[in-house]
Amino acid sequence: MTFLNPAMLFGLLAVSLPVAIHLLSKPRLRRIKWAANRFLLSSVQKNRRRIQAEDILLLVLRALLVALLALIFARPAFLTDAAPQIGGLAAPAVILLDNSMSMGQSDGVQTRFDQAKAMVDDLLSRMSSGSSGALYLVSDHVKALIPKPTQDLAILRRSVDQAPLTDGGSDLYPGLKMAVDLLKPLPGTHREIFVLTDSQMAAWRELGKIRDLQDQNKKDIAMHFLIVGEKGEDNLAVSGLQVSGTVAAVNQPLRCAVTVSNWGHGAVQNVPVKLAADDAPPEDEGMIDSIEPGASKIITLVARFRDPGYHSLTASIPGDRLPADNQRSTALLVLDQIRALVVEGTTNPDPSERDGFFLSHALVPVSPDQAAQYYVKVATAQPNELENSTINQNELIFLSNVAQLTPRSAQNLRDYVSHGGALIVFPGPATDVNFYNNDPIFSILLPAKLGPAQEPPAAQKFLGWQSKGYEHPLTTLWNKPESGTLGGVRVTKYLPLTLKPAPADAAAAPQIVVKYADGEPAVAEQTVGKGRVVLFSSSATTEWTTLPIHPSFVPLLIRIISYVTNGLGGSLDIAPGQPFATPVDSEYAGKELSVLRPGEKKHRIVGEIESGEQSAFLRYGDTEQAGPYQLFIGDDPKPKAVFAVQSDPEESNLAQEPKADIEPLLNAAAPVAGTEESAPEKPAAGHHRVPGQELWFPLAIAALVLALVETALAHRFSQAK
Amino acid sequence: MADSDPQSYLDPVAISRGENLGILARKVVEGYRVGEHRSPFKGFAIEFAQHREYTVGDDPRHLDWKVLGRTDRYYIKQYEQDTNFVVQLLLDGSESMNYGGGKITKLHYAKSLAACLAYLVLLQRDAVAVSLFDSETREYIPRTDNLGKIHHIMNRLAAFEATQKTSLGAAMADIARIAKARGIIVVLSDLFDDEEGFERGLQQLRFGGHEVIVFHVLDPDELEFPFKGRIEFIGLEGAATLETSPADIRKSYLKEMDAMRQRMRAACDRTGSHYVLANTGQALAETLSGYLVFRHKVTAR
Repeated sequence: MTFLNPAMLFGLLAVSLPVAIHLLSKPRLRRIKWAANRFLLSSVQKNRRRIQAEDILLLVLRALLVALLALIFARPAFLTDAAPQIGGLAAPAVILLDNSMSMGQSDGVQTRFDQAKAMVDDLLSRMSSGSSGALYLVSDHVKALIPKPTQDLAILRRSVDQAPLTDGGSDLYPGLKMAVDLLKPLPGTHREIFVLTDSQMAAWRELGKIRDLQDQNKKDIAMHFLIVGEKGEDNLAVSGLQVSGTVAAVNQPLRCAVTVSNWGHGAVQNVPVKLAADDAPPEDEGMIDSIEPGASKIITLVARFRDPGYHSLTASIPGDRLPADNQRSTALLVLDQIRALVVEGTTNPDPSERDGFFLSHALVPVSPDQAAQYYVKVATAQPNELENSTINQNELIFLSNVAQLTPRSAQNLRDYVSHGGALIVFPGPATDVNFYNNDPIFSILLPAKLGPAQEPPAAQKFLGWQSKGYEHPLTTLWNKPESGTLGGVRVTKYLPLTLKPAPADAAAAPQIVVKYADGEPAVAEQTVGKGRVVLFSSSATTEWTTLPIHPSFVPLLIRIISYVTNGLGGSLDIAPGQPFATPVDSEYAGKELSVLRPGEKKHRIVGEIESGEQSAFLRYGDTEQAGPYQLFIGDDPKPKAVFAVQSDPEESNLAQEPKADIEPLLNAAAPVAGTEESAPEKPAAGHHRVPGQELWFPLAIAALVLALVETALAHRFSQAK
Repeated sequence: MADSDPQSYLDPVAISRGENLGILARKVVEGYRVGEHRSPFKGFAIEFAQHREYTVGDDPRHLDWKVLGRTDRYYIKQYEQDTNFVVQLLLDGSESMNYGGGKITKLHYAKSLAACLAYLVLLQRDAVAVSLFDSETREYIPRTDNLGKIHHIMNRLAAFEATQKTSLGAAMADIARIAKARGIIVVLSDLFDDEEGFERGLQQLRFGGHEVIVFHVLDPDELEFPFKGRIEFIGLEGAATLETSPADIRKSYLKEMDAMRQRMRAACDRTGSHYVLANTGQALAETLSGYLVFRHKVTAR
């Protein structure tokens, strides 16, 4: 037995109240001189015992009534080892409901999420009035549906019924931490956390922290883990969709790598995979012959876009019991054409000897008759042409072996980059290192300082690029052996790069794209304003390096084009729950923003375009569901932005955490009725008794009966005798 | 204070009603002069009653000569003669008579009743004597038939104060001893005394040939016990003090009180005395006229 509001036990002192009232009423005694006292004496003697018995009975009843009231307010409850009933809880409870994507796995009748909801409903049905509960939805992020414990069970039940499933990943720790932080300051002797999860391995990714959290709070917070679902079920998922190294351009074949993973217990044969652009029928279809259990297979499918602008691609496989991961989408910006200006530092009558020869050809890697249809249009220019403001019409500007720039040219370039242009700099024999490092306008654009030209050590004829361990998005492609390697690029002369210190804005920090084999930076890049600058340490000709003739040159340039035009940067693909934001022209500020969500046919108005200091912003936050989202401004039928929400591939693995790993956690608190998975056969050492059924209701009934009896007896005793 | 004003004892209404009804001796009283009441002495006065045979010692003057002449038998003529009577008023002046829940105390009521009776008796030229007693006879006003003495009687009544315990039996025995001639004894008391002594006193008075009327003077509070709340009853005549809730014992008390009255009435009935309840809550005129009406009917039979 325990008391959930023990301070109210001081109310027991009030049992002296009836006696005090009796004593205080003494002064009101009347005195009468009476002649017939002998009859009184006789009557009193005859009735003395009865009167005393009646008085004592009434006194006891009244004292008992006061004591009962004090006990009711102190909220007594049985301590129990058995299944704690939330109905008996005097303490507040937090319900953590796992709504990660894996909870959408169906057993053919209902999903794990439905089962969990039913369990919560059962818990709530055992909740007596006076109990309170908060409700949090937990995936890889936490969403508070009822942030603080409420005694309104109807609201709790309704919130559980309406709780949505997300396509997010699983991580229980943040939710548990939040629940502990919420409960800890609350008054009371005991608090409860109920976690309803499918116990997926990913959910326990911070198992150590969860154990620590439980150990630190086991005295006053009991954690109950209620596990739904089987130990692990078969599941086939589209776990990856990537545009493989090409720029998305109108009418250009876009090669996409679709990864399909088999998380089941047996091999899967003949898996058809489809690739569709936007809402159109599938553009391409392929078949994966076989996927071994626990393995993934990649199939490359091709799509084409007829119109420029934002689009989405969706790869899909046949349905199974977890529908959320049977398709995967990505969003991309399809370009009409890309204009590249190659500025050559020197002139040479032999075209093959010109500084932009290799660049011009690598940027248009098609036969001359197809060049007119190719999306990249290349023009060459001299440095003095940079003084024209028309350079802003280009998406890309390459500087190859340019010695110096006029201040006007430097200023033009700086403005160009700040407004979103891309600048790629290749030094050469003519490069004036001093100008590059010290020009107050131009040097700011570069991510690194250039050293004086130097050759490899005497022992080495050349310096090679790193052959593995690529970290920058521009080069991660070459981490896959099938893509070849950049280690074959050889350099005989170069200008050593020294990265500039990172500015306050971490997003604009200089980054190494690729290193030399000795660890020195070979290529660096940084964001300047809305644009990007990529700085190579060697030339764009074969005079200093083999890069222009290396097989990786063309893909590297294509990736650079994709990267600087945001096509490959992944900024259009976000995780569930992550808000999407992109700048738009300030003229759109205040206009209506609507969204077409995955699988929906109708636009939904979701707000307005926000105005910022320099430009307006388009923001959208309700991204719990995986798939493509199209954002529209005003009545414009063309989407202003498209982004895709991609679930965590790990979430498709439905295998549960081995029981041995989480057994101590499950045993630490008393099991909850009806959850065999969480019921240990023997209580563990850390097992503690928890408040069970509250007793206030029977006590209140007893008090009521007592009050009625007291009233009846007092009335009866007050009758003349 | 009403007690200090002797005139307050005479209730005009009671006197007025009493005058009409008069005090008629229910039994034959032995008067000391001719009055309105039949004398127990049948002799030689006004109205022939009966003959009886002459016995030696009879006065030959009462022989009925006519009967002797016609039948040659000796018969004595006997006559009934009216006589006046003496009313002995026995007023209980014990401390318990001091209780009064309303405007007046039982003693005041009893004094008023005694004064009215005395006035009525004197008014019809009968004699009255008053005995004021508590544990013993405190004051005795000898018999008088002089109406002018009524003021004297009332003064003595007014001057008397109740302070002592009661001894009703002793007072009645005193009266039985004093009142040699048969008459009417009126006892005015709350009878909160030894019941056996009271009955013994009644018997003594009845043996003496007196007609006894007992006015049982009680306050409405004593008859109904209407108190509420918690009360400390301070006993008069040295009785113990008692604190109680009247509601708790009301029924029991009323039962006791009723039983006592029944016993007193039974004692009166056994001795041929007349029991009259004098509720001080009732107007004196009602109590007195009620009794006198009853008495008138009885004597008329």
